Amino acid sequence: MTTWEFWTTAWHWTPLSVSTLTVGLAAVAWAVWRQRDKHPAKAYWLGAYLLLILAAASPLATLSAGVLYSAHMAQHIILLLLVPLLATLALHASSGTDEPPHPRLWLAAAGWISGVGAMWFWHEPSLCSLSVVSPGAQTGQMISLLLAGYIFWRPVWGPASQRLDPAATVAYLFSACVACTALGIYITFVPVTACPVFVHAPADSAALQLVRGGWGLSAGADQQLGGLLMWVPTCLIYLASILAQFGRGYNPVPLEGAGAHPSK
Amino acid sequence: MSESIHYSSSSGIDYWIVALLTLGIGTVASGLNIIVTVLTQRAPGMTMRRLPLFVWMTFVDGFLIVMALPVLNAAIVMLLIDRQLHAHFFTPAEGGSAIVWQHFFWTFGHPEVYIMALPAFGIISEVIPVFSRKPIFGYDFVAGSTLAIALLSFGVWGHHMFATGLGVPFDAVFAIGSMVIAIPTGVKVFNWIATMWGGRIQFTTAMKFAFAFIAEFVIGGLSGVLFAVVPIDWQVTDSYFVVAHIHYVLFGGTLFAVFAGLYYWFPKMSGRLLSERLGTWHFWLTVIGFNLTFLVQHVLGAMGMPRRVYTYPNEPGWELLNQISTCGAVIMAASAIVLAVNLARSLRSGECAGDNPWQAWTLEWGTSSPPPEENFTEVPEVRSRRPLWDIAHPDRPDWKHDKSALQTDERHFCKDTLIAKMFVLSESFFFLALIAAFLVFSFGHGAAQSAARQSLDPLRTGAFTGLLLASSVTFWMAERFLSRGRLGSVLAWLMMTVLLGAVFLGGQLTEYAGLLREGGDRRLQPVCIVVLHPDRIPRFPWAMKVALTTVGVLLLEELDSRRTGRIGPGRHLLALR
Repeated sequence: MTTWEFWTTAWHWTPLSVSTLTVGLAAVAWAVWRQRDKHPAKAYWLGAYLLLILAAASPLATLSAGVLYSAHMAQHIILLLLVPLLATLALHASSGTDEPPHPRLWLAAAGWISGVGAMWFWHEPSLCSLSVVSPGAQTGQMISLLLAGYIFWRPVWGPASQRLDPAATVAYLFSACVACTALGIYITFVPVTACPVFVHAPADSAALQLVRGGWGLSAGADQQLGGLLMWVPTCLIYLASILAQFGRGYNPVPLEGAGAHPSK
Repeated sequence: MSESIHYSSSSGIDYWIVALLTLGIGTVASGLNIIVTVLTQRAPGMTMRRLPLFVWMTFVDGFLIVMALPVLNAAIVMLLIDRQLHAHFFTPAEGGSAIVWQHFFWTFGHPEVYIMALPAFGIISEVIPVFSRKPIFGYDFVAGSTLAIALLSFGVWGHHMFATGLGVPFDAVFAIGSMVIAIPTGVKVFNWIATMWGGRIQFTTAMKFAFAFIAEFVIGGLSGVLFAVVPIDWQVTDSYFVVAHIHYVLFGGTLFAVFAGLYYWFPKMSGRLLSERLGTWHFWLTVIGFNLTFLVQHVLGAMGMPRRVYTYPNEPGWELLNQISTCGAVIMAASAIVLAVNLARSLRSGECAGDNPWQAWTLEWGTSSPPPEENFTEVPEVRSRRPLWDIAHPDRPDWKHDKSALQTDERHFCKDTLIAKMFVLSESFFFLALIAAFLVFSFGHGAAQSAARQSLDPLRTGAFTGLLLASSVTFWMAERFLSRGRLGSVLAWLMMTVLLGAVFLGGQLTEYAGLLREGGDRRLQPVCIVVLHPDRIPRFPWAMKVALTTVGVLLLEELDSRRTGRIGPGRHLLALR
């Protein structure tokens, strides 16, 4: 199998991916219909749905299902950080309010714990393996990552009156970045045991032969790449959000009609 | 350095470690001071969005210091333990890892580059607008890119370790990350150039150095991006190319900016102007000397000349290039003499500067030169980023169209709480580094793994640490009830705090007793000596010398403070208590 053949044929149509995309499509259609006047929201929904396809049904999902640990990690990043980020932006794009800012600290604490906790939880070696081999665990993982991601992003991009102030947002996201960095460093440097199922993948799999032979990616290098994805690009997502929030703090005109209350 | 027997048997390295640790603690204290001062001590109306960029960048620098220095401190504490308690964190022959030392060093080392560069960026961001007679172009972008640089700087240290063979994925990811950090730095350069564009540029010495800074720093920055290309990095690692790069960043960058700042703020500090004629001599001698010295070193490095050698092989062309470099260094020495003469002449008989010789717009130029102890008898009103412009031009003040004028709401910080929080932040990074070392070795192989697992039971230590943290919560509850006047509850929560603290201390004693019982472990021999054989303590003469020197310095400080009426160490200690 060549790389081209793989990317054109190895789409991951399983009951879980089909039902995820169906439910996702229904949710997006309903949300777009409700927010039909809001153009930014439509773009966010479209982006979120395309990323959901990438994570659930594309060849990335095929690789993630027991072939390539780094693909599994990329799938987690998409499901926990990117899809919920775009969905949160879409849901609250028009949440302009006259209420004074009133950030809720317990929401922030819950958001941080669920966002970082989900990432750590699903990388416990036995749970990581289970989420690959058991359809039930796969479903649980997908739902929990999407939900945890939304709870995580809500204090940052949620309803305008409930957002953290810019300084607290920087602390919130930077500490999450440090926690993910720690996990990334752990995965990068431990021996190849971070997710045992990927070490014992069936050798006769065409995808695995392509990955090992064609791409020259050994199990060790694959895990290292997975850890590095958690370490550097994840933090770039947090950093981009920090800068966007910083821009919000410097911009007295409310972003998308939300959030700021210029006192003069 | 970890081996006190084979490679550095004298106590020089121990003194160096103690000195560096002391310096590290002092630097963290300075960073903490800067953060708390900026957040709590600003003039009325000086919101965070109106901060002069020098102050903003120094503020961000404070966070870098508070988070990066503790990692170095943790590493050198481990190094000291290696040397004095015979641990082997960094000795590969005994199961340790020299690569771990590199990780710790560069976790600190890369942010450190920006710790030195950010204040320089701040100086340039003040000098260029004043001598271009324009406000800074894109204040928000300059400030935001500073934040981006600070955050990214913690995630790109791997590019200093490409030559250690950590694997292709590692190299690829860090190469991309390292290229990304060039973007916010480039944003700043474009903002400075755009500020000058169309301005009425005044070629003072300060501005000349600011110009040169941009040129030299861009050269250093571009050679820095080259290091992100892994094959190039492999070729030029530990060569004179690296020496040339670092000098273009830190000399052509930071020091040129410091010179710009010196010519800009010296009149404010001393009340006297520096000679522009001597300043021009100083500028040209520095620029010519600097480029002669370091530009050719790029070529020497590309030709293969290694760094950190006192001489070099007789290869074709190397002698001529090294001679050019030496001539450049002599010219730089001459430039330093010119600067010294300029400073001395100015202090003795320089022209009086007046309050605002440059017609600048930030607050410090609104007071006398040098400023009185209280800075201002009456603080000028701050309603925009250029308060003195507003005062001088009441018909067209900035605050009428400046975005920063729209926001006057600011979060207020309690100084004491903030100090405690920043200290905790700093300590977290110190302990994170120690915990990381434990994890590295406990997930490793062989002797290091068994030593790590024997030394610490994570579950037990975690439980005791949990109790310690819980005692903070119970103490906080006691405080809450105290504010409500419910003394019975206060007492109950305080008792709980004491109980938790006692259990924690008991746990610590149990852990140490266990370690001491396993006296066969060589790493704990010195601890056993201190506890069981105090007569053998003089094996550590350096520690005695450091302790005696510290006590001596404190006593002299105290005596001097009593003579001059300043606040001395004794009163500081009383205040702490």
